[in-house]
Amino acid sequence: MPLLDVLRIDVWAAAIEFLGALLIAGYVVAALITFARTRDVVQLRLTLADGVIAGLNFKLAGSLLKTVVLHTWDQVLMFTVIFVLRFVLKRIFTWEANRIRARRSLHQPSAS
Amino acid sequence: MDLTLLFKDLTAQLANWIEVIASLIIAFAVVEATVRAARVFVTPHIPAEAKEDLRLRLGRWLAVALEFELAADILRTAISPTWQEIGLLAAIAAIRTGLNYFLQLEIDRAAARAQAKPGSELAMGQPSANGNTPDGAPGDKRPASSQPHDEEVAGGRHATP
Repeated sequence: MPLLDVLRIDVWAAAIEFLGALLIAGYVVAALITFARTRDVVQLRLTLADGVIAGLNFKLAGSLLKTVVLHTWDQVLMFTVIFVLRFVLKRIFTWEANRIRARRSLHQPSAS
Repeated sequence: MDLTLLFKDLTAQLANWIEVIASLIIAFAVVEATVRAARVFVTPHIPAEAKEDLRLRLGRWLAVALEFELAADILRTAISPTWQEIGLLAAIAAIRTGLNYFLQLEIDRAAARAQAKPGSELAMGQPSANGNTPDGAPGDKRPASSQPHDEEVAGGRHATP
């Protein structure tokens, strides 16, 4: 069974998506650890946003691979909605991370 | 099929854990806000900013928790996506973005007001968005003990271009 699974493209898609999920979870843990050390909420949100962006990249790649195994119109529609949703979410998170970063660099004293 | 099922199962567990973290954050934020509200109640001659500070602080924590929830929901899109779950994810994303936007408006307004009356401990490590409030709180969070001194140093004029 596992030997044949290696050849299947939807297994690869699932594996890539799972990598994205692991990435998000890892960044969540890292953000919590950083927050426990520095008590910096801005850094917490920034790390979280970075993790979601990185994870969404993997998930977008995985869902692109899944176009190979779409068979019915319902699946195609579902794929489109999920893809658009992930794309929009990535845009939102990128925008927010940039905003947080810009605001923080604006208020960081140039001396430090 | 077995491998994909395993991945889905693990993803579901990750999403559940992230949601547990989010609910813990909300619980802690509510407890903190309750303690602060009680302190505001018993303190005589409390300035009006204290209440606003309390509200913004709770709101900011809720935004952080919503971010965690959103991360969990992104994971959930990979598991047996139904139309209802996708609708939920879209709704949560919209709510969270809207909440963040209005929260930021309020924080900016409060920071602009604090500019006229410096010394109120408003920011929890999150200064205002635009650079026209040079007297806002310092950019990074310090322990509360060194707060008054740090505000004089970090909130200085050289913080804005």
